[in-house]
Amino acid sequence: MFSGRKVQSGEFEAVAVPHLNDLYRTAVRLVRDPTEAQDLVQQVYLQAWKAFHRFEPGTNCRAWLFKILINEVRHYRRRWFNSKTVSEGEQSLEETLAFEPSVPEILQDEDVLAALDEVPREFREVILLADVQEFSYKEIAEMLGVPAGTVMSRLSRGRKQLRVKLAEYASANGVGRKPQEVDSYECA
Amino acid sequence: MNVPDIGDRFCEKYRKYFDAYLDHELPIETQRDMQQHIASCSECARILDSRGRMKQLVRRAVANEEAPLELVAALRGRLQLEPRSVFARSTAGWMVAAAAVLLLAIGGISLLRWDRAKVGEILRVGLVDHIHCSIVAKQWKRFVSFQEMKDAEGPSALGPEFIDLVPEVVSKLGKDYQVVGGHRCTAGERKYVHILITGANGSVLSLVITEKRSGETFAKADAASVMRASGVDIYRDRQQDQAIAGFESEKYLAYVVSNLDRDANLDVASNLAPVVYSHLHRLEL
Repeated sequence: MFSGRKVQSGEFEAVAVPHLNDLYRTAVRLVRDPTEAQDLVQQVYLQAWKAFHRFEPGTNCRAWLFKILINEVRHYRRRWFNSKTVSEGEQSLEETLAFEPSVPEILQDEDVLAALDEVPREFREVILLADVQEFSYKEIAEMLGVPAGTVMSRLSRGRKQLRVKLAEYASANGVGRKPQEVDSYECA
Repeated sequence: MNVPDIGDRFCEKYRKYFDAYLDHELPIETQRDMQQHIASCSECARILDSRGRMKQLVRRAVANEEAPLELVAALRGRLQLEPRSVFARSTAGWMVAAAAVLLLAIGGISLLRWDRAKVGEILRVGLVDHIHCSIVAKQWKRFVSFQEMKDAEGPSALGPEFIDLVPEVVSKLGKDYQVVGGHRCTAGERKYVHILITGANGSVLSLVITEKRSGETFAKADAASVMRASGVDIYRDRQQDQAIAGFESEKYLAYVVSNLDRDANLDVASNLAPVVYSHLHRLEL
């Protein structure tokens, strides 16, 4: 039996659709596949629409949609991968970084994304939610179903890994790259 | 003077909370403590600055990704099939909402309509010359003044038909961009008019114009997206790391191709499209 309030058609559009771009961006970076990301975002909206009668007006629709996205990504990963998670025991290895290199001032977006994609998913997830979507630790903790302390710890470890990878990209590719040199053609 | 010292337990105490500080998650008193320490410790200030920069870099890079128009269309289709769908009853509302999302993404250009599949082939016509002439032959590296373009003769000269387009283009480019050359060239057995432009951070742009061949038109192509700037429909895509925006007049195809992100490229194209279209239209009369 249906519970909850009667849903107005325009209401779903007004509160849910404006978050489409943010959901898609996050999905692409989480699954690293634009086609799968599109599929996931469609699933998010289908789930959201089906459950929208239970959504309380005035509460945070964006956080609600992201929670659905996180769940959809988990289902997606269970379908296709044996999801490798990073154990808390690996932390001591990461803590041994002695000197913290400065993040280069100019980096190509492509390099930043490539470095981010290399960060383990559990850490990448919190970086995306905190740094890009600017959710609070409390909101992220609720979305992921973990304590806020775990969010902080994953953020700290994820950012540390990302800093190291960005420094590697900057030194490998040079900062502010220009198009590749090819001299074998003439412009007629 | 502060000497960087990772072993300094005093600094370590603060550095543990740098992430929370940047995320505005610290209580106000702890924030004040932190600010006082930062003001007196150059190494901690450097690290905090670096971490803040990383947050900005990540935000910018991820935010450049934009939901494809096909996704909006596909979503609409799927939701219409749902038993509780609002969309069967309210297609117009969905269209308006979707347009609002895209308006945010493309900034100031009104979305008119979208079709379903891809516009790739006809946009590739413009990409070919940009790759050939700007990227491979690096024509943008050799600055050619307007006077030199005017004085040029022979098959590579812009000639009377197109020389006047240069100042019109200059007037519509923002201060961040500079016209660095203009000529006629051939790529893939096709003749092009090519104006070369450079911008900040190593961006290289081409305004490319070519005569239509039989049956070539964006209107009949399966377009991924169509925007309108001052009455000119603009079609866009991204191929081989280059953003492409194309539009047409009766007899010509015109393109802005660059290594900018798609939105920035579209901004340039929407600024140039009206003057280029008017110029081409005058040639057609």
